[in-house]
Amino acid sequence: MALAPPQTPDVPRASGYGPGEAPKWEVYSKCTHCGLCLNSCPTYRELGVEMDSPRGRIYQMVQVAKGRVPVNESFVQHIDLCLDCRACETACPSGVEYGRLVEAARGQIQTYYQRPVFESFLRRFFLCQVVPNRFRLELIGNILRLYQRSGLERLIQTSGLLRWAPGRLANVAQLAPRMEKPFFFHRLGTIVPAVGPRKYRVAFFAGCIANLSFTSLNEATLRVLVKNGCEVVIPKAQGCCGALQVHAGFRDVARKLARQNIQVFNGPDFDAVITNAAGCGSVLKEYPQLFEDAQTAFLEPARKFSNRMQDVSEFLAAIELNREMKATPLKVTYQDPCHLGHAQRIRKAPRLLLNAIPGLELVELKESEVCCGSAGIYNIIQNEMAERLLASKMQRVDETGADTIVTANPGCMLQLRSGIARSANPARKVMHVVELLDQAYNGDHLL
Amino acid sequence: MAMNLQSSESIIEARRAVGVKPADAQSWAYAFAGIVGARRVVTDPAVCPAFNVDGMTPGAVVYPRTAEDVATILSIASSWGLAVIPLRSGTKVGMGNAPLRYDIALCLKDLNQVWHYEPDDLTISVEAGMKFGDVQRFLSRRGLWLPLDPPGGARASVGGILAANASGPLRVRYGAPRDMVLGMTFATADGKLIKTGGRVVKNVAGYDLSKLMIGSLGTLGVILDVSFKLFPLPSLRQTFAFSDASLEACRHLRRAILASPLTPLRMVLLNGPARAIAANLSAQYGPDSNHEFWVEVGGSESVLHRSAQILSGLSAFVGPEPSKLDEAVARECWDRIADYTAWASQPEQDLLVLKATLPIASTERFLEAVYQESEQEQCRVASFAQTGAGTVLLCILTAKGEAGMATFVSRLRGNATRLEGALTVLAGPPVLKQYVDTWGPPATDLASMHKLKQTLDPSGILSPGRFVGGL
Amino acid sequence: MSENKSETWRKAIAGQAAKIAGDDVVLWRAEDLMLYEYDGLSTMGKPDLVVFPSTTQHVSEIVKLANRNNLPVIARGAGTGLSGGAVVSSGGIVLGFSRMKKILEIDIENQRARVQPGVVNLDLSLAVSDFGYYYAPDPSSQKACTLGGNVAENSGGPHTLAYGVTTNHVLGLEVVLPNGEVIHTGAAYLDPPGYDLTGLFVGSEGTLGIVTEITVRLTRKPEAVKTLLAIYDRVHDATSTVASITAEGITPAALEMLDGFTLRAIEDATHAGYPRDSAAVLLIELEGLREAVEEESTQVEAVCRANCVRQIRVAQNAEERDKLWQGRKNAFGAMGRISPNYYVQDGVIPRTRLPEMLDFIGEAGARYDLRIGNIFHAGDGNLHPLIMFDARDAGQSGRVLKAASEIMMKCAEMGGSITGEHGVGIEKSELMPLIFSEQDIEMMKTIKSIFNPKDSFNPGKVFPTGKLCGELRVQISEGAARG
Repeated sequence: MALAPPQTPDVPRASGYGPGEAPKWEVYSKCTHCGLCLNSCPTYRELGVEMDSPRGRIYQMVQVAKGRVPVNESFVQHIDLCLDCRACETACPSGVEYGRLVEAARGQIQTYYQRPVFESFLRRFFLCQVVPNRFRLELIGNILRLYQRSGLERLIQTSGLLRWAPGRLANVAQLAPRMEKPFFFHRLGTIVPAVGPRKYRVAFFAGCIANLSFTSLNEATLRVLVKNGCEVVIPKAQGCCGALQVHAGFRDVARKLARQNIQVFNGPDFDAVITNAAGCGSVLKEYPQLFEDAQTAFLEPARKFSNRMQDVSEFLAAIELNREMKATPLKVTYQDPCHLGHAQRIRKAPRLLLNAIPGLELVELKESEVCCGSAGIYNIIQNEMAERLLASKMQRVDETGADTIVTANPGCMLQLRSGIARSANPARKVMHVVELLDQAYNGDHLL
Repeated sequence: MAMNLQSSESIIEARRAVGVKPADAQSWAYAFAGIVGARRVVTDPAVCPAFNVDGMTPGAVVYPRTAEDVATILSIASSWGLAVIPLRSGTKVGMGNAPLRYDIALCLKDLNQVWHYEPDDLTISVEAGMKFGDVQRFLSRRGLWLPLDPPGGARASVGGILAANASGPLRVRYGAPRDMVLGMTFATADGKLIKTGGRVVKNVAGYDLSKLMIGSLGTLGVILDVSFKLFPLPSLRQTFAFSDASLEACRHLRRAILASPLTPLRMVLLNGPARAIAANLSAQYGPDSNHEFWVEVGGSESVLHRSAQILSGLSAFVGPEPSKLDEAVARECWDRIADYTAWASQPEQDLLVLKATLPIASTERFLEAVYQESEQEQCRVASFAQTGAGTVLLCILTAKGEAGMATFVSRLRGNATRLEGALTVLAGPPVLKQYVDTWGPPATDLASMHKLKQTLDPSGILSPGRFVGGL
Repeated sequence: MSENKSETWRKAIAGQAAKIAGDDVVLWRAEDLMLYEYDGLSTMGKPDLVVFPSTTQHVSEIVKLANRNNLPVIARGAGTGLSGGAVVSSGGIVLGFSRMKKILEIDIENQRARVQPGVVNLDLSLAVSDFGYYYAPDPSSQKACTLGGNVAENSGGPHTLAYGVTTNHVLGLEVVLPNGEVIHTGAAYLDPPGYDLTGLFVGSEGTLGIVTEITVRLTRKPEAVKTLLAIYDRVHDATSTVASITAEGITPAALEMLDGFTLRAIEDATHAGYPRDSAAVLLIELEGLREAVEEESTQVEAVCRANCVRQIRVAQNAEERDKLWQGRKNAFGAMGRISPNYYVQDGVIPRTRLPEMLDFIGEAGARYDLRIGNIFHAGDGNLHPLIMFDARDAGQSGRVLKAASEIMMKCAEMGGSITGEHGVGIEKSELMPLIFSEQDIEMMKTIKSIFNPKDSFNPGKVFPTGKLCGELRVQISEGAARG
C-alpha cells in the first residue's frame, strides 16, 4: 500500500454546518486543488495566502463539512474577504461553481455565527430593512440629496472632519453615490413605446438603489432600447433583486424578493427581461439556485424567469442593432464587470457594441477581468482591500491613455469614479456601455 | 547496473593486483599495462610530448578499451595520487590554467562506438572518444546532424566538446552542448561509473549531473558516453555577406536582424584579418578594411528567397546590398571561422585566443575597446563576433613579449567586465599562464565549486589546477 | 515523521520570524497552517510555520532561524506542482514566495529578464508581449504557477518540443544555501567560467538551495503561427502520425495528442471544438517564418493523410487558436467534471514507441477495471495518463496505484523516464531505482550532501527511502478537498 501520511485520524465527525443549505459535496468535490484559480483571485493576488484564495476557501469549507474545524472567526474572516467576483470560475478547468459554495457558506455564517452586535444590526437593517423597501430608500435618498446639495457634504469633506471619523469612514464617505432627482421610481408602472415599428416587447428591471442614483443611466437604457424597436414595460411591483442579500447570506430575505420579482415578471409574455446592472443580472439569472433546497415549488417559475433574463448588452448584441449613430471620437477602455464577465460569461457583447460606435477607439485594458474592488457593498465593508484593488486598477487604466472608462455595472461605475476623482486626471469619465450608445444615438432628451 | 557491479569487482581485483604505488613512472605504467594490456600504455619519450599540456609532458599515455578500464585506471590513480588528464585530439588543450601535476594522459580514442541510434526518434548515444566529424558523417546519411560547430571541428572528440561546452556560431540558433545532451555516463575519480539523465528528449528525474560534467574540463570526472537529441539538416543553406560595414552599422544590423522574423543559423561579424582568415588568405596580409557581417539562413527555397528579401531590406544600415556567397565556398569559410586552431600559422600552443562573453547589446562596444587596446599594443587582432549570442573570439596574431601580452589580456578583461561580461583565455603560450588566470576572477559560487571538486575528486587527480579558481 | 510542534512553541518561533520578515507575513495558527498541507498533487503533513519573505535577506535569515531550531525549510511557489514538491513531509517552515513577485528588470535588447521567484509564469510573458517577446517554457499551469517553482521542477510544457524546458532558458540564479549563505550562479551572459551550478540547481526540487532571483532568457515571438487540429477515427493512426512527423524531420512548435475519452471531457468543459465522436485528435502547432510555416503545414497535412486522418482543421485566427489551446491547457482539471477523482501520471518513452505504449495503457486499464484517459506531449514522447476513480471506493484507489506503477515500469523498460516534467518529488521517490542504479542514486546523494548536509531543505523528496521499493507515494484516499 502506498504511504498514506499520518494525518488527523479520519474518524467521521459531525459536519460543522448547521441544518439547511450548506456547501454541497457535488459542487466542492469537483475541486482538485490544482491551483489554477490562484492568480485570478483578487484577494490572493494582493495577499498571497492560501486562506484568501478560491482553492483555500473551498478547502476551509470542506474542512468544516468534515467537522475538522468549526465555523469560527478565522473561517468567517476569510469567507467575508471574498469578493464573490467569481473570476475563479472562469479560471477553473473543473467547472467548480464557486459562487454557489461561497454564498451557501455565507448563508451558514449568517444563520449560525454570532457577529458583533452592532455590526450584525447594521447588516440586517441595511440589507433587510432599507434596500428592499422603496419608501425607506426614497427617504434616505432625499436626506442624502439634501446633504449633498446643501453644501454640508462639501463643508465636511473640506473641513477635514472626516479625518477624525472612526475606521475608514472617510474613504467610505467618498463612495456615496450622487442622488439624481427625479428618482427613477416615478417610472415604475409605465410603458415606453418603441420608436418606429415594435419588434420586441421587453420588461425593464430597474434595481433598487439605482432608482435613486442612476436615474440617468436607466433613462439612457430606455432610450437605447426603444430606438432598437423595443416596447419597454417597467412593472410597478418589481423590487430589489436580492443580490446583496445573497452575497451576505440572507437567503430567506433574498428568496422573498425573488418570489416577488418572479411573480411580477413571469406574467406577461416578454421577449426578455432586461437589466443594465451586471450584479443584479447574475443573481436574477441564478434565482433557481435559491429554490433548489428550500421552497422548491418556486424552482420551475424561477427557471422560467431565469431563461428570460438578459443583460442589456447581451440583448442588444444579439439583435440587429440600429446603426444610426453619430461619430463619437473618444478613446475608451472597457472594464469587465465581474458579474458580467465571470458570472454571466458575457465579454464579447459589450465590446461588439462599443466597436459599433463610429469613431470610437477601444483600447483593451490589461487585467480587465480582475475585479475593481466594488463588489456590491464590499467596498464599504472591506474598504481596505477594495482600495488596494482599485489602486491596481487605476494603474492599468492609466496605461491605456483612455479618456473614458466604460463598464456595464452601476456598482463598478461608482468604484471607478471614486478612483478617477482621486487620480492625477480627474477629468476622465466613467460611463456605462448603454450611456455611450445613447450618446451616439443623440439621446439627451427625456422620453 | 550489471556493468557497474562488474566494474567494482574488477576494480577491487585490479587494486589487489597492483598493491602499493611503485616509485617511478616506468613501474606504475607497468601496473596499468596489467589492466589494459602492454600495448595500451605508452611511456616512449618520443610519443608522450604529443600529449603535452601547457608544456608539461605526461609520464605515460594510457589507451583504455572500455568504460570499466577507465574506472579502474582512475581508481588506481586516485589511490596512488597520479594526476590524469583525459585527452583525445587535443583541439582544446590550450584551455585552462597550467595543470599542477600531470602523470597520465588518458586517451579515449578506442571508445569510439555508436551504441544506440534511433534516427526516427532523433536520438543517438555515442562514446566520448568518437570524433565529431565521424558522428556528423554518420548522421548525415539520414539527413540529421548535431548542430554544433565547435573549435577543433571534425577532429574534436565528443568528450572534449562536452568537457569544454564548446560551441561556435551555430549557437545563436541551436544552443550549446548543454542544451542537446539528454544524458551521459561518466567515471568518477574513485572509479565509479555513474549514469545520469537518459535517452529520451524530456526527463527531469533526479539531479541533472550532466550539467556539472559539461564544461568542467575533465576536473570532476571522465565523460564516457553521451546521449544527444538530434536535429534534421536544413534542406538548403545560404550565406549573405554585408561588406565594408562600420561597427555602428553592424550594431544596427544586429538589432534589425534580431527584431526581424528571421532565425539565422549563424551570424558573425568579422574584422579585416578575420575576414582574411575565413577566406583562407594569409592572416598576416589581411586587409585592414572595415567589417563584414555574415548571416547564414537555412530552409527551403522559398524561405531562402524571403530571407534574401528581408536582408536586402536591411541593407539601408550598411549601404550596399548583401552579396550571396557560393555555398561550397561558404561552408569552407564557416569551418575556418569555427575552428580557429586549424588555420593558425603559428604553432598552436603559441597562439593567443581569447573568448569574451557579453550581454548581446555590448558586443560592438567591446570590439571598439579591443581595437583601441590593440592599436596601443601594436598587435593585430582577428575578431570573430557571434553578435546574436554576445560571444567574441579574438585571435592575437602578432606575438609580443609575454609580460606585454599579459597586460593586454587583463586590459581586455577589464573592458569585458566593465561591459558586464567576462573574458577567458582559450589558448595561449604556457608562459603567459604564469601571469594571468585563464578564467578570470571567481564569483560568489567558488566556495560551492570548491566543495564539489573536493567531494568528487578528493585526491585531486583529475586535471588538477586547470579549472576556475585553481580547481 | 516528526510530530508538529506545540502552539506555544510555534508562536515563539513565529515571533522571531516576524522580527525578520514583518508581522503580517508569518502564519502559525493551526487553522492557517492547515491551508499549507496540500499542493496540486495531494495532501501531506502540516508545516509548523509559514513565512512570506519579501527579500533575499529575509530568506537567508529565516533559513538561519530554522537551522537554529532544527526545522526543515520547504520552498513553495503557487503550490500547483504535481509531484508533491511543495508539501511538507515532516514539519518545518514553509517559505511562501507569493510576495516576491516583482519583475526586477526587462532587458529586451539583451533578450533577458530578471525576476523574483514568485512571478507567475504567464505574467512574465504578458509583461514582455508588447515588445514582441515571450518566455518560452509554458507549463499547462502557467497562468498560476511561479517561475521559482518552474526552476525547482525544471518545468516543461507543450512548446518545449521546439524550445526546450526551463533549464534551457535560465541564465543565472541567486540562491540561498541551507546554511543561509547567498550565492550567485551563472550570469546574465553565456558561458560564465566555472561549473554549471545553475544547471544543477534547476530541477533539484528545492533540495539543494532556495532560489531568490532568476535571470531568464526571453524569446522573440514568431512571425507566423499555424495551429492544426487533426481528427482521427482510430487512436493508432494518431500515434503513428506522431512517429512519422518526427521521422520526417519536421519539428513542430508543439505536438499534442488527446484520446477520445479525454477530448470529450474537455469539450464539455471548454467547448474547444474537439469533435466528440473522434477517437483521438492531434494538436499541431507550427511556428516561424511565414513561408516555412506554410511549407511545413503542407508536409504535416500530407503525413496526417498518409495516416488516415479523418479531417484537418486549421485555426483561422488567434481566437480559434486560443480556443484549441484552452482545451488542452485545462485538460487535467476538466477531468474533475467526469470523475470525482483522477490521478495524473507523467512518464516519457521514445516517440517511436507511442502506439505500443498506448496499447499497454489500454490493457492496464482493462486489467484493473479503470478508465484511463490519455494526454500526450506526443512530440516529446511525454505521456500523461489520467486515471479516473472514486476515492470513496477504497478498492479502486488501490488499483489506481498499481496501474500507475505498471505504466511507470513500462516507461522505464522502454528506455524512457519516470518523469518528463512534473518532477520526482515525494510521489516518485521510490521509483527512482527503476531508472537509476544504487550507485547513480548514491552519487546524487553525495551531491546533495555537499549543499544540504543536514537534509534540512525539502526533506523526504527525490530520494528513495528504500522501504517501499517501486511504489508511488501519494495519498490516494478520499482527498481532503475532494470530500
